[in-house]
Amino acid sequence: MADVIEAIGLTKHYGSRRGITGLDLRVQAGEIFGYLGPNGSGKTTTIRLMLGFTRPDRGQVKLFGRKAGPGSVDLRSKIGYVPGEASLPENTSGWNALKFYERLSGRGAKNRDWLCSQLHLQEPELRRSIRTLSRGTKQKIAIVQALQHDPELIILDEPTTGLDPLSQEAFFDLLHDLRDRGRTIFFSSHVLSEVQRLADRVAVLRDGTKVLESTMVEMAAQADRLLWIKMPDQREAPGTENHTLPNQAQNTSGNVAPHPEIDGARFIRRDSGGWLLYLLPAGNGQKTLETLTRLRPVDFRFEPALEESFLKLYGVQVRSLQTKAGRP
Amino acid sequence: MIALILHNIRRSWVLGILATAAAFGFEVIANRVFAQIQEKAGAGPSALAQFMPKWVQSAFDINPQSMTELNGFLSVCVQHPFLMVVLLALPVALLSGWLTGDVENRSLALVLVRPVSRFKLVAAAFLVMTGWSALGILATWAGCLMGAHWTGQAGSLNTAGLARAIAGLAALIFAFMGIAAVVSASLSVRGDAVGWCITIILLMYVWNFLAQVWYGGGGVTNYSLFRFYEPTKLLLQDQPLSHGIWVLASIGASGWILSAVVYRLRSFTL
Repeated sequence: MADVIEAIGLTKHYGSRRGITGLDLRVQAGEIFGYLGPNGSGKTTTIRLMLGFTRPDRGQVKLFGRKAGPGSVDLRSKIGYVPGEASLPENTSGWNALKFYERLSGRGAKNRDWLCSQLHLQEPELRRSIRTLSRGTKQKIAIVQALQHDPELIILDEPTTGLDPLSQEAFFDLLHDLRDRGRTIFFSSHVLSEVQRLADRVAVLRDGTKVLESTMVEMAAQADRLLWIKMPDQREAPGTENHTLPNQAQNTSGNVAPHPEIDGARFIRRDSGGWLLYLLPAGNGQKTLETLTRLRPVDFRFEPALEESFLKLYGVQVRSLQTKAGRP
Repeated sequence: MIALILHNIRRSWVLGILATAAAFGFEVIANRVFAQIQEKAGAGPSALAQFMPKWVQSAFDINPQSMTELNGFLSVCVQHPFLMVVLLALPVALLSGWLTGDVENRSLALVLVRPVSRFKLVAAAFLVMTGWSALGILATWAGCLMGAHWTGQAGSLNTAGLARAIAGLAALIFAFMGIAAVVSASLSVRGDAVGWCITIILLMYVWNFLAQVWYGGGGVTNYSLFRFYEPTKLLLQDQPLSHGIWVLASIGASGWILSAVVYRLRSFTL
């Protein structure tokens, strides 16, 4: 499959401030590519270089096989871009702004009505002055302006900022539709759950350097596992003898108790509903199932500890699970 | 390109119309004031000019004798600080908004991701800015003509001299437009662009003022752009357009070219 985005040794520093260093990246046509990293890791710098807002110190980035930069004007008719907090012209209506961007794109706006209906953007809202609109509505207009001309490549820089959960849901559905139509989507975010839901492949950035690139399936397979168990008698739950209910506070030191029977399992916490959370290394599934059969829990659930894997990549310790992992 | 031009017009029409109206109104009122003074004092504003300190007369190139007639009075009015503020504030306010403000508020990002060259952005700013400034200058000219007509002084107006003085004014405004364009294209914070432009204009105005006052003593060399704008000579002495107008026009053109190059080459942290 053809590479729509190709970054080769891309490096950009802002004086003494770090940007990105030696970034190699390939995004293929028709995929949703998640670009993850904490704030300041270099995600926006990468996008600036792709869009030609700035020039790299070293390396280059190609879009559709052609070098991207400030002068690559004709490439941009194939691109749609949604920034995290879009600045739309405040002294006009949403409708006029969309017409303005349509004229600049020179490709019509064949997707506009469909996008507006998907995002529940009503005409009265579009007729109002942008300065009177809520942040979420402005963000919806920003999404429509980026996608209305049906671009081949969609670059999203933390695009769900300001969207309520319902609108986020509609937006994700819309992205899946676009992917199914063969559009390529580059989705930058610091929210793992967003990327996990959407992306086919993901790259993780830390301190301006790519620390991981993988498909979501591979990543889930390689990640540690979270095991939730509900035992018939909580006092007999193995590995938790030193913890009385509720015991979250007692375990905040980061010391995790090993489970005496499940290989490699480390007790993380017990929640008020009686569920016990363990962290297991990947590749232990069969043994664990056998042990669970013997222990006869009331209920149990496995899930890949993706967030934990990402946090490890960011250099964060396991103790964050004590508050972060949701209930089953 | 048309979309960019219309977009800039939509963002600037209030200021543009206000400046045009102010320039027109000022010159109409100036004519009325001249007529009133002449009617009441008989001798005309020259009587007032006699009481002006010599250094003020020198600074504004005022000859008390010339103030007895409308052309002399208007030669002062077309370099009046009010008119300068109105016509120079327009390019500073608009260019800093279009070329710098859009960088600061990041709205430029949604334009630059489209197939629009950066040259076109500067060209659209140039065309709309030139249009508004031309309108303001024409309004100044029209204000002089209409004011003289309405006060029954049209016969004494040196229309050819006035046209030359207005051409000089246009060149002066064009030169400062070029400077404002370079400053605005180079910076990313609108307040900085406005501050630098005002500083440059004020320094040149004050420098010109001091140089005029001390000219007799040969104390200050006049590097100010205002020295190339000499409406008194153009209106009263019927001098042809001097090389000064070409100097101002060249500075304006150079400023615009430089601003286009800077805008094309610079990085934007949008």
